[in-house]
Amino acid sequence: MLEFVSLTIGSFTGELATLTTEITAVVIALAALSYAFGIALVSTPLTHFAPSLAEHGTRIKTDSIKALFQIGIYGGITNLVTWTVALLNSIK
Amino acid sequence: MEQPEALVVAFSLASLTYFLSPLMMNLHKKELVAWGIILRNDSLIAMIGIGSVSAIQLLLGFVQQLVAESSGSSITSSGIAYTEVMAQLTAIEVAFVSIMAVTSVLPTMQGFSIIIGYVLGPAISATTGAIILWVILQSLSNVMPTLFLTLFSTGLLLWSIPFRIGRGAGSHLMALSMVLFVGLPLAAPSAMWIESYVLTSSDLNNLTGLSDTIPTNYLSPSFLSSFLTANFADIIARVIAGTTIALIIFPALFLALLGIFARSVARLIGGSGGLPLGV
Repeated sequence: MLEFVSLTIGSFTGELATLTTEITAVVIALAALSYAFGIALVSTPLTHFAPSLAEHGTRIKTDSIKALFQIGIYGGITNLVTWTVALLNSIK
Repeated sequence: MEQPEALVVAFSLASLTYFLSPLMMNLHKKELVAWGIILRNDSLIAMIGIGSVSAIQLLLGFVQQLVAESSGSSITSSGIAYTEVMAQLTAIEVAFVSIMAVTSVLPTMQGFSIIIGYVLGPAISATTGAIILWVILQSLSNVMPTLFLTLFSTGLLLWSIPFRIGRGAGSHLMALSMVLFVGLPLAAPSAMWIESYVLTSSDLNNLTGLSDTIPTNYLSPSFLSSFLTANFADIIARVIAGTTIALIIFPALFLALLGIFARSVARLIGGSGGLPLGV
């Protein structure tokens, strides 16, 4: 059964914020999974026979760390943006 | 949607775009990682753009002032120039309609009214069209300082939608708002400058300098009549050329020029930005 919800600017931005939080949770979970999978690939004895597995594992680990780092520095990024914006707006 | 609300939504979309980028990077596929980098860069640019709307407006005001001042005294105030343009066009329209009315009403001029109707009919249509166009330009010029923020914010909102869905439309909207903000107040002063150039410049003597071809033999019986006729033709030619070029053809050309500028600016701010590899 469809339920009609009145869409306002506030509710829309709220929905966007919820979606952003959910995506962040997915990213963290996916990064943890990728990191574990990367470690598993790197530490498997098969790397002696297939060295490319270790390379793949290292790359996957690095990508997951990059993703976590990007989420972690969001506050810093917004601070940097705020500073840049304040600098631009200070030109009179 | 009011301008601050559009900016709030745009910022939410930019944040969403930012958090989508690590997700794409985590999918370990070349094309998707490329998307992730693009999403991150787009979100940062959008955030800076959202915060700098007032600075951009200030910059555009400066550019407009720069254009107006660099032309010296040739470009007058926008309000005065629009009044002059409208006054001239209204006078021309009233004159044409009066001529048509008089020639149509007088029984002795019935034949003449048919002939003059072929000449003045298109002229009246063109003048009416020009009046409508100038009224639109003047109205837009008056509301543009207020409308600019709304248009620009809406453009930013479209620009901030993830995966570059509204990037083209957003860029064009932002570019259009910026170009109209700078260009519209310059339309009427430029038309007045062109009109005064056509009416007074000596550069056009090659075309209209009929009086120069008359031999200056003052004792010739036909000198006075030919001198007056040539000068009268010269003045009429200049007035017709000046009003036609500056008041009727120029606004359409000016709008086309603004359109070309808007397209260039839209391309400059990413309206034709390509998608990453393999997408």
